[in-house]
Amino acid sequence: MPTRLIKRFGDWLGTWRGTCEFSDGRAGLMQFRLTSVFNGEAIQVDTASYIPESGAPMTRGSGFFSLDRQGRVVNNIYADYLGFAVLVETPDDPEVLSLEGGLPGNMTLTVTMSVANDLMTLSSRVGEGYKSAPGRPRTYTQMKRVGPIQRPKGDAP
Amino acid sequence: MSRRVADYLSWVGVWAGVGDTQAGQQTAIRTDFVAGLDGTSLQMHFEAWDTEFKTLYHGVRAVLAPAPSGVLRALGYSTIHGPLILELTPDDEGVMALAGDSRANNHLSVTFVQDAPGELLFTAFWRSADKSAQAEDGPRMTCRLKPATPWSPPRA
Repeated sequence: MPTRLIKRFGDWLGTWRGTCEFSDGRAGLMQFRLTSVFNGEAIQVDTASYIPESGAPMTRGSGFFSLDRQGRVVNNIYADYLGFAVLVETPDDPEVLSLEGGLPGNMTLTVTMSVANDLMTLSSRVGEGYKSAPGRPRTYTQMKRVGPIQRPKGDAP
Repeated sequence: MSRRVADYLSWVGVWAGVGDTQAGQQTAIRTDFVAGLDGTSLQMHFEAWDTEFKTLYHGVRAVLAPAPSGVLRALGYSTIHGPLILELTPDDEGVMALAGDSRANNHLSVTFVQDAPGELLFTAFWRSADKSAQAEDGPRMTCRLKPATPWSPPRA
């Protein structure tokens, strides 16, 4: 019996890779790997970005998707250039996962993710303080699936 | 004393043992330490089962990594406590002492101590927010972990 988390995100599991434009203007190659852990209770997300020409690492991160008692996604994350944060789902269209949470130094991180036609789109933005910062530059990537879906047996949605 | 991820990379591998849960049950524990994120983090997969491996008492996935400030924290997911961010508290060499609060406001403490070559002493406890810190003198999960070696068939 798949968990509610896997029913919603089972099609996101696997490895995704694509070009990325960072908020500071740099270009990179982004990779996301989403893996079901503890029989679908959580999804581990490991991220890495590389300089396309050399393969040298640019950024690294990790995190976990899980559902809270209200059924909202909670995403505790680590990124080597941002630090640690707990993001919580904010209202959006059903096929879109929008997350927001505080970062050290009175900063706020917002992330929007979606998968359509086997293409994962991710946009993130770091803003200062409590107010939203729609004008600030964002990190944007579109990634295609690499290899087969890593869907655990019995977790098919 | 502040620690670096490199201080714990000698623990990479599978560690196993039989100990006791905080509730007093006997438990078989398996912990897998792996270097992650291009060697800049230590990833841990922890499972505590009943000794017949039918019930998973507690499972934890965690990543010990440096914040931009250099401070080490552990990001994790627990099958009991949900998402976690724990602080590495200063301690002696060969000790990984993590502590923090869950989103349900439970206080957690997790410690690995390398008190002999090839042996890790694992202890952990949690208490709800309405219990005083004196509750930390109560029972805790404990286990002596040793490196697990793959079984090989006996030689003829």
